[in-house]
Amino acid sequence: MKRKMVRVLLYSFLILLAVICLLPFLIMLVSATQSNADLSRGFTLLPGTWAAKNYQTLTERIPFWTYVKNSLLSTIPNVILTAYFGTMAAFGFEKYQFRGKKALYTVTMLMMVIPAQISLIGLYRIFASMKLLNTLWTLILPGISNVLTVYWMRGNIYQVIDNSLLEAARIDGCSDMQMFHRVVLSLCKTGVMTISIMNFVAVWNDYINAVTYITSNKKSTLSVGIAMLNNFDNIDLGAVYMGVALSTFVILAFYLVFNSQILGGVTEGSVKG
Amino acid sequence: MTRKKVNFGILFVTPFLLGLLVFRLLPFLYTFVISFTNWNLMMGEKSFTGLDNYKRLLSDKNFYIALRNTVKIWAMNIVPRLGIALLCAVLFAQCRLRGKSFFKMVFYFPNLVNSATVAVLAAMIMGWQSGVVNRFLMQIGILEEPVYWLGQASSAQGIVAFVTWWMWFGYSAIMFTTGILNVPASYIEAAIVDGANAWQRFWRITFPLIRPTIAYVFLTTLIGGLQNFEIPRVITDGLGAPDKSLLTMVMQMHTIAFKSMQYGYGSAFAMGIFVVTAVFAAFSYRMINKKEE
Repeated sequence: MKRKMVRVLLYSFLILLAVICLLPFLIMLVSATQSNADLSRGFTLLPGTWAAKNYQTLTERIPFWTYVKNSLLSTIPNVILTAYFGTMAAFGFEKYQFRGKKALYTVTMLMMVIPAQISLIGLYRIFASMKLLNTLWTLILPGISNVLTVYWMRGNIYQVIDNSLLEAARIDGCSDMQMFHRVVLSLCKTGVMTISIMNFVAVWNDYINAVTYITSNKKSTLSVGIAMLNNFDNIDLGAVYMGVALSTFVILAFYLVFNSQILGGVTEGSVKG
Repeated sequence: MTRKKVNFGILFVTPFLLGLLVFRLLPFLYTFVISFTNWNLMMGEKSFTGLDNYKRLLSDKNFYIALRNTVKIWAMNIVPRLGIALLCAVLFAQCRLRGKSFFKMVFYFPNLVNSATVAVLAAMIMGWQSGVVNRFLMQIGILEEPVYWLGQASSAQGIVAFVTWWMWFGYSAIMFTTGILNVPASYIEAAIVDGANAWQRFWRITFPLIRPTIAYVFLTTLIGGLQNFEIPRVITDGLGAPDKSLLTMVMQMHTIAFKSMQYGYGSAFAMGIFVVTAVFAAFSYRMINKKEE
């Protein structure tokens, strides 16, 4: 009897937390279908009939799909760049000996300790002198220097790639470059995939870099575009909810497809941390 | 063969290291250098002014206000975050419950939605005249007049702290779950045989063994929390209103550098944030290690 009570209590706790997590999204969904008149009356969870109108208002006021396009055009190249050069560096650090390796790796790990926000002004001026401000390159190129990916892939390569395998490949006449492409990238596919999905979410959600380096509205990414919705409250409430809902849908779709990799990626990070 | 190995190792790490140099190391050093100048886009000429910016920083009221707000908002969410995450983790790892993967997935979802979207949604829900919370409370008769939640210092900070908790407790819970799952089951079984109850099992076995995970999560949230920017920035459009209660350190640095275009002083402000972060991190790192002995 006491056991049963405890179980009921535990489930109620978890369900309460789940409701807290999901309720804001439910409110968002319902409100996105309501008119301004509905949204200034008493609160109701019954859907309204204004979804299409809200969508129309939203797309008249902000170029929503342009933001999505810009986000995709910056996130995908960044993630590919990170995966390729990050894995390559991890391979170099893990399987080769060269002078200064330890020192270089230590410096690399130290860079993880300095929050990127601190260097924002310096990087802004560097982009300015490279004439890259207001281009998506400012969001793509830093992918080359993703320290966490190198750290993560180094662990992955250590676990997956046996030295004897590399020896065998070399005896079969594989060059080092071929070894990287055919052995490392193909055997570590799962690891590369997981870290890339994590990187995708991080870059997709970036706000501070996009809002700093990109000032033209046409080049803005989704997170910056959505943030601007906050400035026209009280006018088109339903449209704001619609924008927030669409932005959430995009990442929800991604989550439903990749949830095992995403939750697995968080978990693997904690094993090493 | 050995010689060939040497060359390729360097070749493989070079693109990454060059990237690290250009996008991480140089920007940091450059910011440091700029902090000793009066570089200001409005005035043109720039020259070295020694420690002037740092003197100004030390007497800048906004720096201390921002520091206090940032720490306060972090402190308000870290306790419930670690507490609830630990409880969830124990349930996920050590109890036979149905729907664990569903709960994990739901708890983690708020972390995936970008902060800007979350901030806009929070501002809408907590809004004044047409906010959902006010409309609901007025409907059921608790409120007569709508309350301007985001217009009062304490409730505005509370909202930001709550939203941060909401976005991050699931992440911490999943980290802790793995930490607990790595504790050998035989330890727990032995304790059960010895007649330890759930409370004792947690404090005597599980907690000491997942200490490193807790320390890791604590330190990373501290460092991350001190860089708090997105949510207050989007909610207040960079103003930090009401009464500067949502003014955070990174937000103030951003405003100085990119709204007032004072690169010199902004950089000194950034270095101030860096020092504060380093001091806090070192201090809590020592505390964590001391207790372990």
